[in-house]
Amino acid sequence: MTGSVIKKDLKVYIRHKKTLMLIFIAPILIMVLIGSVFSGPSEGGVRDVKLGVGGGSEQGKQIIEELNKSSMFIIVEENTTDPAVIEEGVRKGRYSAGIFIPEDETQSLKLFLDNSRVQIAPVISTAFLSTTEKMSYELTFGFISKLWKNLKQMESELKPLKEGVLMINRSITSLNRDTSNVLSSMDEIDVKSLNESIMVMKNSLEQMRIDLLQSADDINATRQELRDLDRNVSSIQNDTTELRDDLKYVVDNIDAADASMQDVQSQMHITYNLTCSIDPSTQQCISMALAIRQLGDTRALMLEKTGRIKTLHSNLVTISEKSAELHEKLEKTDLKLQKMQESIIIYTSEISNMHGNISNIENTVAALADVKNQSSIVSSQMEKLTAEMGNSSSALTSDIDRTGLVIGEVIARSPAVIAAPINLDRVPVFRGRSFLDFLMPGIISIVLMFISFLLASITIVQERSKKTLIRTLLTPLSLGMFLFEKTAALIIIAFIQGIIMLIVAFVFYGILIPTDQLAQLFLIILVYAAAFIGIGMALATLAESENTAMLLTLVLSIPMLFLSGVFFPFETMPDLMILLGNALPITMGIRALEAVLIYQKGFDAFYVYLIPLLVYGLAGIGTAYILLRKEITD
Amino acid sequence: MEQIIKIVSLSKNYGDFKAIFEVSLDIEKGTIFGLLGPNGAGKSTLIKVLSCQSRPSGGNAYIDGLDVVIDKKKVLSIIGVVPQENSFYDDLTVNENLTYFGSLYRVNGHEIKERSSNILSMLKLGEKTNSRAGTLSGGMKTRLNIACALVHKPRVLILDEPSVGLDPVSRQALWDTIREVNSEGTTILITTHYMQEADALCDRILIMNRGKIVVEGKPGELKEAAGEKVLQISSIPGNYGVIKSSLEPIKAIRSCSINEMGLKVTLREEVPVQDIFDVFESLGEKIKCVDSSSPSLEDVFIHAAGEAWH
Repeated sequence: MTGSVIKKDLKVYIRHKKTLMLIFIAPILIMVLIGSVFSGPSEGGVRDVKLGVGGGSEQGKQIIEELNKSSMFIIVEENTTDPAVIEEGVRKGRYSAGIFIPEDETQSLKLFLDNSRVQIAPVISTAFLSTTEKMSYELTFGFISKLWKNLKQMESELKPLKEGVLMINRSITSLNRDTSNVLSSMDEIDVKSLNESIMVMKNSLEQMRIDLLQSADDINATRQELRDLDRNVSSIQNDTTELRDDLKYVVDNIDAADASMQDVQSQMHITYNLTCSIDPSTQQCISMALAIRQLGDTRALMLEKTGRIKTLHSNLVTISEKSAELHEKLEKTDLKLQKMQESIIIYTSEISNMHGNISNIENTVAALADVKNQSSIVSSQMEKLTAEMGNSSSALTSDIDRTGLVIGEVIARSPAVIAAPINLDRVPVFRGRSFLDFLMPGIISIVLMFISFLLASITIVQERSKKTLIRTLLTPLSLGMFLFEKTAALIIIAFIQGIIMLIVAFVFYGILIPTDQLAQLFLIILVYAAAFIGIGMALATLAESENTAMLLTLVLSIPMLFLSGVFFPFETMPDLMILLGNALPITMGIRALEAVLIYQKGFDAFYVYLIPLLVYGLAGIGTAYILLRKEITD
Repeated sequence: MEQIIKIVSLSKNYGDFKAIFEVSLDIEKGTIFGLLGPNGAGKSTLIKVLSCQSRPSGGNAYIDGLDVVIDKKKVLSIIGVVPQENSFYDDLTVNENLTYFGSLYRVNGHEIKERSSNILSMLKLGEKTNSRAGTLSGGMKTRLNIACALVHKPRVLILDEPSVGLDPVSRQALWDTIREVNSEGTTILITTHYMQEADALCDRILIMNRGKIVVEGKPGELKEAAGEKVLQISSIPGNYGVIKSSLEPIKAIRSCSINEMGLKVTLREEVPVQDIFDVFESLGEKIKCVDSSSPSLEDVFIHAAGEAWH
């Protein structure tokens, strides 16, 4: 009984020539087709991509020259300054990509991609990126070289800058000190006493003004009195002058009398001398001598009396002169007083002005009080500012020092290193291997998935729909054994196909099959096929017909294809899809095959995939067992 | 006679629905046993239990002394089940199909070869040994369907409505086949809707309805028990429903049924036919044709089914 189902199934599969051919030919055909498409070197890329080019600038021409160097693009130049023309060209399929280079180099280039061509679009994008990166490098290199020069100059200017900062700091400290002094000086200003002084000053000025006015009045009175006095003086002077003149006449007369008397006396003397020289004692002589003496006495008396008159005259002259002087002085005094009066008027006016000034001073003092208050705030702010400025200055100086160091460090590096900080040499680790080498795990997995999935689901559905399943189970053969043998038969088919694909890949395309890991490779194929056969069987139990089974298979397998990482890398998927993709049996199969065919890791690396695959297979077969058992027993 | 199938108070429930209710039955070895009943009577359920496809809810069933539940594998190895529909592999040849099913019964290759040859010869398929099953005619396919169940030489062959869809010639050939198989000592349990088939083939018949045995016995006995005479009457205008209602109170009438030819009246005993005709006349019916015959198995079935329904 053992193996009956396997034998029967294999007979059924090989009974039809077409089926038999498909079992053998299908993997060969698939491998030949895919191999022909992807057998190029893995480093190669797309070529002869039509590229529309519009706009233009010197930079743009350089880009086009760069692109022309590769065989990737066929340049279709459009004589346009409108990017929409290029976009329309891509949209209408005239070219697969279009680039518009604006004349203004500050504007960005526009790359229009035909993103309906999902395979080519990223490659074109990458090619452009490489070209623009290269150009960017050149531009950056030039820019950085200039920058370096400037940085060196800047570095040399940092020392004076630091000194300047320190000087500013010192100035601010000094300013703060001065401000403090000003404030302390202002503190010394007693605004109250100032106000009192001003008040006193104001009162004094008022008193002064009153006094001045009083003085003016007094002066006026004095002047009046002086004028009166002057008048009296003038009168006295006139009187004195008249008296003087009169006295002068008298004096002159006296002098004339005296002179006459003197002549008489001189004549008497001479007569006496002449007459009395012999006997002075004669009476005559004595009378003459007496007359001479009396004449002398009279003359002396007259001289005495005349002297007083002369003195009086002289006094009068003096008085007259003095009066004239006094008059003159009085006039001068009056003039002075007049001037004084005028000055007093000016002074009173000045005092009024001074009042105004004092009011201004009062306002100023009030302002000063405000200034004093403000000054204390300013002072504290100034102190704060000084402190902050001190900190800032020290920070700034340390920054300047650090900047100097950084600039020193930076300019110590070559601009080329900065423009391209990481020099990337692409070194493919799998050298000499074709693209097909890397596709092999994916191709084998996909083909085996479809074959296993479809064969398993269809064969079970057929057994169910043709009632051969029930009939088989009406024999001593158990359902478990039936499913096991079915699985085994399908694994044999899948295994054969897997081997055929490997042989074709090796023979036709020289794909490297690691001979030391053949056991692992075969084991993966077996387990992987078993996983999908199990799932296919489970699906078949849910399907009512072969059509439903096929649709169910497609519904499951197509999303699996897209989530397997073969067509779209996991790196571009959302987290949830990555999680789902990693949990799929196809992904595990691909990874396990990669572990052997590409990485050649041996058993250790892929047991993590084989155990889950085995679980998938067992779970599928288990589900099929449960559902079929339920279906056939009741 | 030795009993090969013994059913004791067998019940099978599907939820609240009692598909079989306390059925007890003995089937003698070497007989052809017919299982009859209307749709939903419980025939298929009984077959399922006997062929180990369904576990009974109560009671027991034994085949050749083996419990169908406890000794499932052994039971399956001594019975052959022929499903209603042809179930074999069209892509395999006749011989390959027999070899496959033989191998499932753990028959060795040599035996399978010998047995297949005999069966194919017996079933007149010898010339088609290497023909693909899918290329056979309908009758041949039916025979191959039976052959697949015989390859292990079963003690009991269970056939589920095997003649459904066969033309009369093929049906006759099938009957011959069944008789041939039975002649080799194989007990045959057959379910059928065709009374003629049951009448022609079966040694004993069991009529079931609503999960219970209605009647069981030899076809002749059953027909005898069914009544003295059967009248097939047609009338104008033919309001047979009204006529049937008017006839049923007559004690001598066992049953009335309406068919395509008119009204079929089975008499319990000899009664004056005029009494029946009077009823027709009283209802304004003009008798057009009267045919008199003895009761057939179909009458037995209708009667049994009718009684059960009543």
